[in-house]
Formats: sequence, C-alpha cells, structure tokens
Amino acid sequence: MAGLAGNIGWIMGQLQSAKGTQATFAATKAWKSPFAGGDIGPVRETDNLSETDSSRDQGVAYVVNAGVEGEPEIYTRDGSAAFWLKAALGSMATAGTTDLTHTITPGATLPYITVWKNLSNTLYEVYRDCKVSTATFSAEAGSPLSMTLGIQGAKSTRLTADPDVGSTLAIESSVVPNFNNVTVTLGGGATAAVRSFELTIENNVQRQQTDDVEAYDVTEGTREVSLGFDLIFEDLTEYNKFHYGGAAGTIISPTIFTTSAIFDFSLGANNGVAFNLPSIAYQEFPVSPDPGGDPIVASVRAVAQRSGSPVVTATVKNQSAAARYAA
Amino acid sequence: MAKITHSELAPAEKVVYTLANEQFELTAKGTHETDDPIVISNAIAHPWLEVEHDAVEADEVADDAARVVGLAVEAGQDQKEALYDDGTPVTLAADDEAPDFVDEEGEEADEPPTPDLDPEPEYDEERI
Repeated sequence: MAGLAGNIGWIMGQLQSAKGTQATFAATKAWKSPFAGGDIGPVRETDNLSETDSSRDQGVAYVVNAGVEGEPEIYTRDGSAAFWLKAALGSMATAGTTDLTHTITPGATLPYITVWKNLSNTLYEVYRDCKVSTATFSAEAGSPLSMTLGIQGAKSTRLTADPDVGSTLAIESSVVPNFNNVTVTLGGGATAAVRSFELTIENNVQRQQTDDVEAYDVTEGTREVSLGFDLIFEDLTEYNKFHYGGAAGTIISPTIFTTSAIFDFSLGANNGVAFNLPSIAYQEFPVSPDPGGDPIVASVRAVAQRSGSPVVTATVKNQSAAARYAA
Repeated sequence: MAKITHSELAPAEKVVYTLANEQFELTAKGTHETDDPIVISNAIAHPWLEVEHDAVEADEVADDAARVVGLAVEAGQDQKEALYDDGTPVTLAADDEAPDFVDEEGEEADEPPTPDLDPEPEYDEERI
C-alpha cells in the first residue's frame, strides 16, 4: 500500500428533479470542478449516555445524527458559476442562442442538488438532497475570483466506482476571471478605488431530523446578502454618506444611507460574471490612522436591502445552453 | 393552477427559466401553466414574471338556499335568532318533529302536573 496524493480530485454538482430523487449523472447536465480548497463529506454527530455506573467511566457513545456538510472552495468559472449561483439563489433565466446570458435572481425556494466527490481516484461519494446554504464570492487585487460553497445535505452514499466512468465530463478548466478584469460601479458612478470584493449569500439552510439518523430534509431560512470591499481612502464622499447622510453632509444622520454597487468581472463581450446590488446599506466604514505609514484603506461592510428588487442579481455570460442547467 | 407570463421587465426574446428544480420556456407573449407551488412561489418573486391564479367562485363553498347569514339585527326581530339569507329562522329538525312530552310508550302526551314540593302538613285533629 502507498500513500495517496491530495491534489487529485474533483467536486461535481447536478440539479435534482425533486427532493429524494438523486440525480442520475449526465455529462450534459453535471458540472465537474477542481477543488481550490475546503472539502465536503459525511458528518456524524455523536454523544455519550449520561448515567451512573459502578465506576467513574463515562457513559457509552451513540450516534445522534448524520448528514452532509462542507465548504468546498472552487474558482469562479463562468460555466459552473451559473450552476452554483442558481443553486444559491434559486431562479435562473437564460436568453440567447450561441452566446448566452444567464440572469440569476433570488427565489422563494432553493433547488435540491446532487453532489459527487472524488478524492485521489479512491474515495467516491454521492450526496443527495443538498442545498447551498452559503455562497461567498471573493477576490482581491491581482487574484482570481473564487467561491466558497457552504453545502448542507441529507444523505451520503459511498460509491464503489467513479460515477463518471470513462471521464466523459472533463474537469472545468476555462479562464478564471481576475480582479484585474473587474469594473466597479458605486452609486451609479464607476470607481477604480476598490481593491477587493467579497459577496456572501447566506441562506441559513438547516438539516431537519425526524425518525432516522439521516436528515429528513434540508430547508432554507432567512436570506442575508452582504457585501464587503476595501476602498482606497482618497476623498470623503462615501465616508460622508455613511456617517453624515450624504456626500456633503456634516451632521450625523439618524437614517440609513443606501446606495448601489455593481461588480462586473468581464472576460470580453460574451464571457463573465457580474453582481448587481441595487440597494445596499453600509454597516461599517472604518477610517483609521496607521503609525506605520501605510495608506489608508477603508474595509467597508454593507448589507443588501430588500427595497432593492431583487436584492442581488447575478449575470453570467457563457456558451452553455439552458439545458446544461436542467434537472 | 396558475398561469405564468412575462412582465414588462422581461426581454422580448425567448427565455428559458429554471425555477427551483423545474425548467420551462417562455416566449414574449407565451404562458406557462403549472400547479407546482414551488415554481409558483419562485415565479412570484421573479421580476420578469407575472403569475395569474385561477379564480375561485365564492358560492362554491355553500348552497345559496341554505346559507346562514347571521343573527337578525333588524328592529323587531329576535336578536338571538339566526336567520337564513331568505329571512327564515334557523331551526333544528328535532325542534319541528320531536314532541315536548311523551308517555311511557313514547307517544305524545300532555305536560305532566307539577309536583307540589311544599305540601300542607296533614294533621290528625283527633289525636291533637
């Protein structure tokens, strides 16, 4: 026996037709991505009986529940990005023929997806009835756009062979958008003073256990969309908006100031990923001195407001037809 | 059943929608009919879509002739009496058919005499 390399593997996702119906792998519908970090796998919670004995030893152990959890990180490529964004937000509208535009918006219900994992061509698992609880898209100056997916699932099964026998579906390897490709628009005006981006879609998905060790269902809760970015502090405009209610304000404002933000990661006219938040409210706008003399950068944190309808819209341009994202 | 159509915000071209786990096409003036509550709820939340529910007839829930409309409130009427919407009082079948009193064989009978709960004492005058 010999050790196994950790950098061989992939994660693959495909839409289910319904809860409880595990997707049958299809190379025309699944998305296979390399890991850039994180992991996903079965989890089991255990506890110990709490009772007295003739000795001081603790009670025997038992299994409380089992399910699927993980936060795999993958690079945001425009093919799979549409799939994972659709899984995280709920609804997708696809227009076009050769060059397609997928407009992904928040829905009342999230889709069930099936997820497969391959680790070192040795461990193959399939996870049924999964939902994306958290999706975080992030990049900073000079680095590629990545996404971290917090996934919750109900059922895990170990497979004895590769679900994609013969590797009919290639691991996604297209160009990854970089922060160097981004165009940032704040409050309707383009700015080049932003040097990082972090968008978090939190669905608060919970596993629901009933009469079995495995979960009965996974259900989404409150949706929270938040935005963070580092802004080079070169004028008082945004600072004043947060504290003083307007670009020229001088008196602390008792009301929330809202503005808009668009981050467009473009790889040409027909490829890219863009995020549009029509109404955000700043929550933090720190501007502090630095004894070391580093330039001042405000690490801004904001939350999407539901007065923006929808709170966030993601637009993905690629050459993948809508059928690639069907159940 | 609900009809899903494009709103004014939708593009003029054909759009393929993937709402939760279902996918369907919609042309500019096309409609998609579904009774899937998950699809309907996602369509309601979608800015490009409008949802029209089938109308439900209000009278389907009760027979017109026997619909109770509430207590009589008009002057001169018994305020405790429930009326049908044609003005007739609500009565139970037992009120019309069952006699107030029956004899030992179950036949209708007169009201029995009220027992005297405080009778005059009977004295034996001779013994007094």
